[in-house]
Amino acid sequence: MKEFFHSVKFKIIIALTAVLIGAMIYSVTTGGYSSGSNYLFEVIFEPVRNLSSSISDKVSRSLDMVINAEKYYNENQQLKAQLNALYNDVIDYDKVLEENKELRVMLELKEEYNNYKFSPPCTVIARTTNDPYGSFTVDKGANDGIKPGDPVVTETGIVGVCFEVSPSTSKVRTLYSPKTAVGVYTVRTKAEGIAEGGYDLAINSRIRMSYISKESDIREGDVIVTSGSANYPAGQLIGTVESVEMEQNGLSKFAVIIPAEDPNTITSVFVITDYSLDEVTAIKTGQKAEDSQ
Amino acid sequence: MNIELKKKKERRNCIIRQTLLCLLMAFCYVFISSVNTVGTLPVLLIPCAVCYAVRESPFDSVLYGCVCGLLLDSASGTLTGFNALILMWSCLMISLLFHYILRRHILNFLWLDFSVILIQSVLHYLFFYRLWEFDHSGMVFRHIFIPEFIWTNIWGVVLYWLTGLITRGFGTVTEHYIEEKSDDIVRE
Repeated sequence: MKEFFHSVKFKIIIALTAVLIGAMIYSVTTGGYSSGSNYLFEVIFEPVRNLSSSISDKVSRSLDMVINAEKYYNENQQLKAQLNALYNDVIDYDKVLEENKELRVMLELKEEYNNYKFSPPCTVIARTTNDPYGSFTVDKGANDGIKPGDPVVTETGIVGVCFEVSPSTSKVRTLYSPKTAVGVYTVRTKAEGIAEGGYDLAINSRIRMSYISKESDIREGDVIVTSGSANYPAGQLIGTVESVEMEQNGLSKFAVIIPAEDPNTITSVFVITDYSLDEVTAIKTGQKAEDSQ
Repeated sequence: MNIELKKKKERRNCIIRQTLLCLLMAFCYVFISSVNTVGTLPVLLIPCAVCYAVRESPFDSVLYGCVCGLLLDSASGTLTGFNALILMWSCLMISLLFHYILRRHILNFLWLDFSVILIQSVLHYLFFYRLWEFDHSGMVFRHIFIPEFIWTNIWGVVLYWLTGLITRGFGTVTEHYIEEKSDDIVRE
């Protein structure tokens, strides 16, 4: 054994260790861009992962349909009832739409999404192994204009943010992660707060809206949207309030939110690669004007 | 002529064996990174690297462990090099132990595999959850790391058996047994 520690091979191992330590330090300083080795493995294994991911999705979907048939039936009945209620709401919709257009003209806002730049549709190709917060990898990266910190959305609402980008793939941190904090407010009363994740809620597919002023009017069923910041565009749907409770310190309230989109079940997403901050500012100005009234 | 044929066969066996072991590593990576299921998955790359270290030379084990670790870093979203360093040095130690001290036996494999998975799990939890003081990180340990630890150990036995099949089928590696020094043994 002594001979091995004096051999050239052992010196190579020491050099390899130094390289790996260097790679770790480099990874920390890349500012969200993927390191070389990760990129290399992703390129090599991408076709195989795509294939196995699609097989796995099909198998789990078929199993899910068999196992949860009764649950889906009940859910279907509930949705039918909700749909009937929505039909009634649609009657007022046109009127509200007209009013909204007029207000937009007054505020000089552009049509929603007109100033958003989306990436091509991204497919979820991998789930981070045993991640309690459900982060995943999509098949589009820096080559498609995606940058670290770009928000990830579906047709329904926001699901997370890109945190590591390689030329052809991006890793997405979901709303369930405690590292993701989004400024949000309720559509009905404009009660503001911060939407953030935590493991205790993530296991039940829920997130938390914290730092709500205790005087705020917020209740079950309220719709939550993003308030807009440098990282997240305004007006993106987050979810609906399930319950509201007082914080232990008694200074503020918190709400449990049912996300509009469960990141654990999605298979394709879009990344907002660019958006104008003017809309955010305008909305905020509008909010302030409304508040002062 | 016979020796040359034997050498040729050994070289061919070696290439097939290494290819199969690399394919096993690739399968483990694809399995843990693309299977979309509810519940905790076993981190197959760790026992895979340990199995390799049990059966191959120390230097080869280091390289295999390093690649397994980098793949694990890529799959589990940890800092590049974190798992590579752990697996690389673990594989070196295990390979040296089996090369010079220990007998190749499933029990020896089991306790070493158990130790490596334990070290990796504890360090992963400490550096990526505990250190950040996330709320309910204890729950993460109970609900994610403990099942992962148990499943990985169970799957380790399957991988040990699989790698055993590969090395028996295409093996040229000599068995390393400890020869007890005894005057009673009559050597011819």
